[in-house]
Amino acid sequence: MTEAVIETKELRKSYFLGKEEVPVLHGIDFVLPQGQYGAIMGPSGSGKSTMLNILGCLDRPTKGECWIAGRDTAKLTENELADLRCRDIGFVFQAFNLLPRLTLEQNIELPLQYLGMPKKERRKRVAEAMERLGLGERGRHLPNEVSGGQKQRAAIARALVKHPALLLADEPTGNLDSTTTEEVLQIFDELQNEGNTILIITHESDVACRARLEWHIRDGNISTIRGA
Amino acid sequence: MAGIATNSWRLPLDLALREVASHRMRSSISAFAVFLGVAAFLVMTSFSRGMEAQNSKMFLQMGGAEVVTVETMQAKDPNEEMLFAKSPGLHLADFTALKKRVPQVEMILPQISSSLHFRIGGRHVRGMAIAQAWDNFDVYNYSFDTTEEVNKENWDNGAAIALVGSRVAEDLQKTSGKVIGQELSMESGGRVKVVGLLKTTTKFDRRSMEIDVPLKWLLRELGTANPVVSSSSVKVRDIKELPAAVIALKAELLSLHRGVPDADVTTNEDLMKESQQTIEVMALVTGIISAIALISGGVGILNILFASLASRIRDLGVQKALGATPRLVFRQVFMEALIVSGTGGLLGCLTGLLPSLIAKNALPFQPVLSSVDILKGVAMALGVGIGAGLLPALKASKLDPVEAMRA
Repeated sequence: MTEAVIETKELRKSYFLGKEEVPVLHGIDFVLPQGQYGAIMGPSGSGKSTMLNILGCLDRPTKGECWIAGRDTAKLTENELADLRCRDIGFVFQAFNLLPRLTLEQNIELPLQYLGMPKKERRKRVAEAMERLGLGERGRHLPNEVSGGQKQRAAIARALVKHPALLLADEPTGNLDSTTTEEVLQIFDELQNEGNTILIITHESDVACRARLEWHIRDGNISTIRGA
Repeated sequence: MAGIATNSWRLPLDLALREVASHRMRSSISAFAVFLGVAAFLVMTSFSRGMEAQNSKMFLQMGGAEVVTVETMQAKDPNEEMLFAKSPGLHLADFTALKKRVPQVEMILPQISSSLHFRIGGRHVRGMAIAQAWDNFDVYNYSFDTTEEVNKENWDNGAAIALVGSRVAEDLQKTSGKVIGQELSMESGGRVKVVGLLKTTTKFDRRSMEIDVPLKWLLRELGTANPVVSSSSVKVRDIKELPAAVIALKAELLSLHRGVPDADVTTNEDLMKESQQTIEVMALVTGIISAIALISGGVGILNILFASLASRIRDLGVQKALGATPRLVFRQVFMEALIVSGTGGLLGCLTGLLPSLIAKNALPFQPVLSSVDILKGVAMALGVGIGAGLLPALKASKLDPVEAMRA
């Protein structure tokens, strides 16, 4: 059986408003096998962002287990979580989240610098990622000098450049027009075909339907639409 | 693959440099305040040290701690004026009497400088003329170059000769075309011939303006063996006897002046203390000015960092999401503070060094800076950076990435 990149067991998350506990995720069991392309779809307030934060090791569950790339994130320290994000998770955000003072090339290189990779290898990987995402001529531009589509391509390149175990995309087409959305989804299709593990969080059904696996999340509960 | 770069300094330095460069104006103003603080500290420290060194030199020129000066006091009001009128005043003979009556006095150092002026032709020679005995040269550490034999015997016998300082010599050279051999005349007609030059360290040395003539020559010219003097000195045998000597001298002067306290006795130590106090006050004022400038710099840096954090809290959240550890974020923000304060400090150190490098002949003293002073300046600048950078860096390192990215 294929190894799971994400596996949650009875995953629960609650927030506290004063002394009142507000449960957001109600015991979610979820598995994303390696090399699969999955999508979690849900409306606003369904708990999908909370789910993304926990799966992306940006937050911890209140109860239950969350295994990412073979490690139980509930038991990791802050530095170990940072290490896991750095090595194994590539984020693609709705708002691109490129650092405005760095060029596209430098933005893509940054995760490799966090990994302490030698400069020569960094340059090679950055060149490959830029080539792969069709950003050849735009490397030395600042984010505010390029289009939304190019920003998102750079963000995908930044996520991919370290060869992560998991590519986690949060509404990756939310700020793009329909043509660019199609381009980006095409890139995700290609990445999946190359064997990358991808999980997209979205509220758009036409984005979710591009994935091979699909779940719906509503009121903190998850249901499988298309399973493995 | 190499390990996560938690121990890297280069990456946070690179990011910090970009951030500082993106706020050039704000960063420059804060760096300028640090620059002012460090430069003021170093310049004034170099001045204080230079003045202290100058004081030590002057102390030797004043004969050291064993020399005591007796001088006529100025009346402060009409009543005191009436009282002082009853005294015969300070005369040269008083010093001979003091030598006899006060056992602690080893030697007298008679000196007359008031109302002593020289001319060449009809022109007044600028300078401070002093008539003194040969022994004074030894006690006051004089040294000179002469073209003909000048010794204790012919000096104390009242030879018509003079020694002049460098600025007087320059003046003579300009006006008459020669120094050595030049004759100077008093209004009464007496003449002396310049036979040598006093050695001085800088043009600001008090001795560069002196015209020294033998005391006995002057007494002969004045036609009296006991002229009025405004001040003169005696040398005490032993420094340990100085307090007793001062008391005895005051008592004898009262006795010689019919009980009128019109002459004061001051030690060189008193004068040095006064001078030292002035330097200390100057150092204190400098310290306060430097501290204010440095605190302003620190507050400026703190302000920049907090404003900068507020405006890029999202970017820091993204960095954390991408794998930046709290330590890396801490270093990045902390280094921004160090870059600003370090730049200001470095420029401050260079400026602080300038007076000691270029002011050799522009000031009455040579400003002096030691490597320890420079290190203190660097430490002050870095201290400001550390003090101002710590809190924002801690705050940034503890940012919750989820909250930060929502900002």
